[in-house]
Amino acid sequence: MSAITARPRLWPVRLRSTPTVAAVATVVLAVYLVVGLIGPLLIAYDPVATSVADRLLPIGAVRSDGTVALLGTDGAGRDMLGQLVYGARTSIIIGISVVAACLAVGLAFGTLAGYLAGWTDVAISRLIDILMAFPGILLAIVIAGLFDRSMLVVVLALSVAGWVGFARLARGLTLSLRERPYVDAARLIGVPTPVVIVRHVVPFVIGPVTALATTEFAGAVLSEAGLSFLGLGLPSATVSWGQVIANGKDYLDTAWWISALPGLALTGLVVSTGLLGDHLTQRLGTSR
Amino acid sequence: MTRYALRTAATGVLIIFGAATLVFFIMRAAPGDQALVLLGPDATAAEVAAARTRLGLDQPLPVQYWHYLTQLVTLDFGESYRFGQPAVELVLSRLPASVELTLTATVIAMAGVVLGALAGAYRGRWIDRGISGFALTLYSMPPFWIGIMLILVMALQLRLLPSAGVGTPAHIVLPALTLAAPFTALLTRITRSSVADTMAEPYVQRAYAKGLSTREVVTGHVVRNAATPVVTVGALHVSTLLGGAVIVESVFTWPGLGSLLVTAVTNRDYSIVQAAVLLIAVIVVCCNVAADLIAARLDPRVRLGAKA
Amino acid sequence: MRPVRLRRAVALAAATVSIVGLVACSTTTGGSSTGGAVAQELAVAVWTPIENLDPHGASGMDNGTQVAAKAIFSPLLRTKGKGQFEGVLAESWQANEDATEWTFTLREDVTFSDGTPVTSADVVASFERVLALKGAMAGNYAGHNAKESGADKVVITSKDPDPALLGKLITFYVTPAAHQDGDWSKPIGSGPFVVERFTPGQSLVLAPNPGHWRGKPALNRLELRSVQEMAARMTALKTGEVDMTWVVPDDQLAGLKGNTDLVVEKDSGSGVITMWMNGSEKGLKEAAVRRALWQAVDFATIIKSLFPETGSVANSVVTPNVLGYAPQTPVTYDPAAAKKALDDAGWDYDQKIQMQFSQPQFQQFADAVASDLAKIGVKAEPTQKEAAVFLQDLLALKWDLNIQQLGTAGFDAATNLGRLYTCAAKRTGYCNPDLDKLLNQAGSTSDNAKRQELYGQANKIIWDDAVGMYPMFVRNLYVRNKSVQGLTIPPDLTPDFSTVRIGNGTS
Repeated sequence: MSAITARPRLWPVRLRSTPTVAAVATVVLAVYLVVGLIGPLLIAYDPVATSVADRLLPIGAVRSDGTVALLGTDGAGRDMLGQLVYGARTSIIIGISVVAACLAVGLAFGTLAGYLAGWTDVAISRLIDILMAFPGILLAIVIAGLFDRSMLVVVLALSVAGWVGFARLARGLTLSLRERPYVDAARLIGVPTPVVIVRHVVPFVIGPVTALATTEFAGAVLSEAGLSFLGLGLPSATVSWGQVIANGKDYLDTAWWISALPGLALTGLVVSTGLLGDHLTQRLGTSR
Repeated sequence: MTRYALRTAATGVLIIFGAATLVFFIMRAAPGDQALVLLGPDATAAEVAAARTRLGLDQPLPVQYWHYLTQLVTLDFGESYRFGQPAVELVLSRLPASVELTLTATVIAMAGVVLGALAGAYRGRWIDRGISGFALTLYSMPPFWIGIMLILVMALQLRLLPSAGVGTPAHIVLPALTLAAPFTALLTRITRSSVADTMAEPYVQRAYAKGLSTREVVTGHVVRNAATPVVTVGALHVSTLLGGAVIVESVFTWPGLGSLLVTAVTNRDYSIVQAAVLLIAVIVVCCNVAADLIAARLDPRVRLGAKA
Repeated sequence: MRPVRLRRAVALAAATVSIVGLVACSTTTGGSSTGGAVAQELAVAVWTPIENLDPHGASGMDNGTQVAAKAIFSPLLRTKGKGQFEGVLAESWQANEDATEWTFTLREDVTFSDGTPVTSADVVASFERVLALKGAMAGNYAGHNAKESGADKVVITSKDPDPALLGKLITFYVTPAAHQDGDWSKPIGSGPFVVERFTPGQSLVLAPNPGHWRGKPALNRLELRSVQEMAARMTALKTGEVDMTWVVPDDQLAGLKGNTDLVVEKDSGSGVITMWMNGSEKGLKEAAVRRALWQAVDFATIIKSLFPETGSVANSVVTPNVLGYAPQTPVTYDPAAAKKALDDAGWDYDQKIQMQFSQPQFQQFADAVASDLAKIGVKAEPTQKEAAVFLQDLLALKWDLNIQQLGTAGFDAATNLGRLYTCAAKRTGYCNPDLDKLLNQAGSTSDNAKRQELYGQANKIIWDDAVGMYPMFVRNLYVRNKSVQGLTIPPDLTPDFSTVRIGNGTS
């Protein structure tokens, strides 16, 4: 099975991306970031406040107090526009936290396995194999059940298996790096192993791994939505797109906008991250 | 070859054993146990304690684990306390529906190979951009959302297809499309990249130089060589498909392994959860081996058992 | 009661109310009245999956299994409403003075579908099986014992007086003594239908039992399909894949509108939304505080908006069709008074009240409650818990406030007030010796007038001390195709299909 774990190029696939496409993607991403960061300051939306008299209003309908619900309201009378804006922030925070956690763990495990080889490598590789053969949903259910719901728990649940991708990539890269002459030289003149890894291996691994991070970001955002969809995600006071989609599931026939809009927003975010990721992979990724 | 077989068998057993161990401890770590769910909210503390004893849940964890390992070896996970039937039987009875769904989705996803090959062969042209953009968008949508939108449009608005359940061949269309969506996108991207890489190889360039058309070059020289990563990645992702089926099956009430697993976890029906996870692990390991064998067959440069 | 699914929703077998408006007058297609004989086949969607046909086992109290059991097996008796019962296998019954010994006389002409007669030995064996399996149902019969007294008499004795025994027995089904440990995928019973094919969690196909003592049912084929996903149930109903379902949420009626073939009916009410406030937690010890919180929520508006068809503002801890119901002074919405009462009690506005629930249909309700509480500065956090975890926390009193829909098994307050509100039960975080005394008295007499009186007093204490908020009575919606005729809407969510026939669509 070693042939499998050592397979170098599993996901980072290069899409020929032109600077224009990358620029557009960056702009779109920036818009999401701005909306997520300062949108909540501009739009007054209280996720706790419901208004049951104004529930299930269609796009552009007028509320009982005379204001216009630009994108309609959900089953508890909460404003959809507000939920989209607040959901953007949640998704971005979760995405970045999960990627950061996974990257750190994956990079550490991957480089160690690749550099030290031997039993360390075997142990880490088998751990990766086992995690990949295990239904992630079980892990998520247990973690969600063990703790009270919070953003930290969701990040943890998504990171438990999420580091595997980084570790595989880092391990593959390190395996070839450790045979390079300068690494050999450093080792021969007695530079301590941690220093060799940090100074001579990590800098060359970090590029491709960062490129992978954009894909993983997208994956984390999608998984968070999936968890919330199964009712295992964030507490209801924290707006999440996945939760809004799930809330609208029972109203497809009469109020389609509840499920449709957050899904579109989510797709837009992930597509632009993907475009940027492809661009980065092309520039930073391995040439193999 | 013998060496390869031995290594594969050992690793496979290790992975299955690891997954089985993980599920055991995870279920025991989860709050709320079988005795509670069994008795419901009306039970007294004494009744719950008695039920724990009866179910063997009061024994020390290592003892329970040992008991579980003996079950594992004999493939007898006991009866599901809710269904009153052997867990293995139940899990196997749900397998065909899951296999049917996964296979249909895989067949649909093969469209990705064609699209990817087209995009790769005409790299940088409009057709490439169109296909690549489509694949990226498809990959970026949450699968459960695709399912919901398909229900909204195809079942509720156009009333073309049933939205849930089983029965006629029409029932499988929406869940299979949903399950296939991300996989199609993945296959498109991988095929495209692989074909594009192969197109850059000197021998392909030479074929061009001999005056062959793009179509002849692709079918004659590229396809076979570009197939290796596609097949291996495809086989590896069968496990992802099985995982994705959990959500898809619950959206479309498809009576497969995934929906059984989710209810079993909710009810703390340990025997079903353990049997189902074991089965999934076995399938994943088999797919991994299949991926290895096919890769070796397709590409002489890949040597089975070669040290990484 | 089981939080996983509403298990014991109970109500009176009284008048069912048809919601007019959905059914346009029958001036529909002219072709429907032609063909004489209509196929007597019925497919219904059951909202909780039928995983097991064993009526005594772990899933014996699930609605799905109960519905199947009603078709396949016979109970000793069934309910006719508040304190009234009708014999099925039992012809008559008699209790002794202090309700510790009940004697049931069995009907003579009843046989199982394999031809053997139903005797007292079968009843005793079934009862003992319930006790031996120690499932959810066994909890009803702690300290009980059954024995034969001749072939046609069964005596059930209990250690403590059990005046509510009859109500509990409506979910107890009799199976042949000879087949107690057999295969439960094709069980033998004495009910109106026999099992033809059973796929656990998916479908149960039944055929009529020609030897049924009340006559062969009209239906030639009855299929109970397990469709848990609500949207799927509604679609199946609209496309005609199934002809009937029940427990339809209010919000789904809008989607069914315009379909003139569907008839919507309500049952007589089955439960109370019960929101216990944990008296042992976070400043919720004082009754004044709990009352103030209750007052701070505009339940009338919430119910009107979220549950216009199924909900009504409650005025008692149990529904009106329960023995022990006594109307109380309604709690009216008054945020100003609530705020003042909280200030006076020194309420800590920084603390967060965790509102636990496990069923997703409470999400919007809980959100709306939290929203109203926030208006007077009280922080409440709706938390949906996985069913098993919810149950564990519920029993361990690890909650500030929880939301459940509680039914009253057997329409007798003994199974609700008597069981949940004693100090010893440790279920609500509330303990009151006076209440304990009342409940104890009520539980040890078989005089129904006396019990009604005592439970009425208990009701008042619980209501006035606001052990919980009791905002809403719940009724359930049944939707059927109008060709489905002869159905009596049951009080307990378990329809009896033996009287159903398929008409030609012009009811």
